[in-house]
Amino acid sequence: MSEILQVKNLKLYYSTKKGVVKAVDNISFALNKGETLAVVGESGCGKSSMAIALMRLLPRNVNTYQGSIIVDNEDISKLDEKTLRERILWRKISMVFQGAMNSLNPVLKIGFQIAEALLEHDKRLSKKEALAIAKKSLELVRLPEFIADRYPHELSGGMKQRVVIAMALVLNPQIVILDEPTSALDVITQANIINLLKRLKNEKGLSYIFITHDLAVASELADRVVVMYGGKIVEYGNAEQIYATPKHPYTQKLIASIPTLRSDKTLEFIPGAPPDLIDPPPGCRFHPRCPYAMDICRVEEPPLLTASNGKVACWLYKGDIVE
Amino acid sequence: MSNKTILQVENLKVWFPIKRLFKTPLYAKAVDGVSFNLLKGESLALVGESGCGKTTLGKTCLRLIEPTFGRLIYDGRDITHLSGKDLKWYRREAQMIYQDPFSSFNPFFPVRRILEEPLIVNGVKSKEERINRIQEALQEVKLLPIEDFINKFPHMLSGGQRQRLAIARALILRPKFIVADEPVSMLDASVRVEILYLLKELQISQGISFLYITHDIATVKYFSDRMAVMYSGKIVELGEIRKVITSHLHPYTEALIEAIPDPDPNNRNVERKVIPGEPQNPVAWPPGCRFHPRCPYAMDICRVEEPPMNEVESGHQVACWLRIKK
Repeated sequence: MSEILQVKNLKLYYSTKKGVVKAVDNISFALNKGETLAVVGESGCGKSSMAIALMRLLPRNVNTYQGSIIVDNEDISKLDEKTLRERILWRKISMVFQGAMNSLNPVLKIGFQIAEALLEHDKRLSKKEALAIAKKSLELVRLPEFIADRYPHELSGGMKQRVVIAMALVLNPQIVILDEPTSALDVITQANIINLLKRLKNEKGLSYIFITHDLAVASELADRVVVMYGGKIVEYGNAEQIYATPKHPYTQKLIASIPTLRSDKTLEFIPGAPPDLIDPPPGCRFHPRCPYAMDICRVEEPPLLTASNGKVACWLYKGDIVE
Repeated sequence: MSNKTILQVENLKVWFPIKRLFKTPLYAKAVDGVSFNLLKGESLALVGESGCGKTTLGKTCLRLIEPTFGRLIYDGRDITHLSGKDLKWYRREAQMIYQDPFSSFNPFFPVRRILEEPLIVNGVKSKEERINRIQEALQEVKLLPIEDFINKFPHMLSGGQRQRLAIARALILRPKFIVADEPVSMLDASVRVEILYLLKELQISQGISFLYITHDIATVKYFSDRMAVMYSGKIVELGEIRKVITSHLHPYTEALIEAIPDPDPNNRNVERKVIPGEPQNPVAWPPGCRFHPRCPYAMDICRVEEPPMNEVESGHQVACWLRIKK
């Protein structure tokens, strides 16, 4: 499989009054064509920051923004803002934002809101043509054409979420970042949207980066899984391996904490709180909560080791390295 | 009524008027004929999609919303229309834990004041006793060591700690009945379980009865004893948790359970079975069974006549024509 996106040593730090927040701290991964990479972790672990770093949609208080983002053999982090916006964003890589369905403009018709992106990206397009394409994209997300003439308040949550997905797909990107696309929806609507995302992926050969805190929902789409903790990747591997034989103690505990409906298990929880990203603990960031913490964990940060399946950043697997 | 029941809800209806100029008002029938018994020391889960009326039902059980019709009997006493001093008594007996631990506290109050307020309002005059009760409550929810927390403000606490504080506030008046409205849905996975275990512990050690309102059926199994499934302002199925999950009788329960994924990488290769349509409009419920427009098994009778609640086996009730033998 060919790699459509490569991320190398990505860093995104914010300046705040209290100090520098290391939200994304030196992470590297790759996304294959037609594959879904799920990024999972608890709130505040840097998942959403990673997404906005990929799209270069940075807030004002950025302290450090580094690393290379290679889309189709082109390092987009080297491009200037204008070229990036004209050639890459929304055309090659697009995003469904968290809670985007609540940010639709209440006074504009749905059709126009979708067409707006088209008009902005292609100055030669007439308004009529753009609207026609917008209606086509509604069809793609299984909404009837007349929705284009409706206002957001006339739609249900599930329909609005479909509109937001249509917006992300209107310029035919290859990579779509989905930031918690179902977290505000009811279970039945959620299942509907997930089914839609599965179909779109197969029809259009899309590659997803699927950001979620819910490992059960992640399993609905994920081919591979990245587990983040405290701004770092702690484990990275195939979905089968991550769910069946998680290596990192954090991943193990996280999976043990998900309630299951169809099977019985004793739920575990992780005592303690996620690390402070301004002043993270020395060594491994998980060591204060880790049941297997050793001396070295408190001092030296574990590198992302290539273990027998996938990659893991944990000293426990030091002897297990393949390369 | 047996003396094992703490709260008896009889044909409860909560209708909200929608006023229209020069016309008779319409009613949004949020809760429309609900009956159940909450047993002493039990945890009853109330599940359903948003808009099905579960929060309205919970708040009405606490008398935070006036019931339109029906009766509420708490510990043998009719509380449907309590007011004044009697209502204040009920306010001590029954408490609520809210969903959002980030917006349910006064940001200018330290932990001590948050917990002291209900005591002052309810006439605990001695300052010493108030402090003792506060320490006791913090101990119960394991916000330890107490000295570290007692002077903190809500913004200094993490999500899990805030939810513990919310529980402490609910416990401080030593209630016998607590409505927990989505108490863990805003928390991270690793903390969620911790809070559920804490609630379970309180249920067992203090014999508090819980009405656990949630849309997340997966967590229900770990905290509740029985489960009521609500759809369009009515309870459609009620029974022991495991029975409802494994041998559910109502098509809506089936659809809800079918929609919930377990963490399993094989999920990605299949599409989930989903029922069509959206929840109905509370102003004009469909005639007959309210679920019939979305139900894959709908028959003629479902479109005309509303199915009654029917006990299929001991303790397992369902309102569905499919389960009524003629």
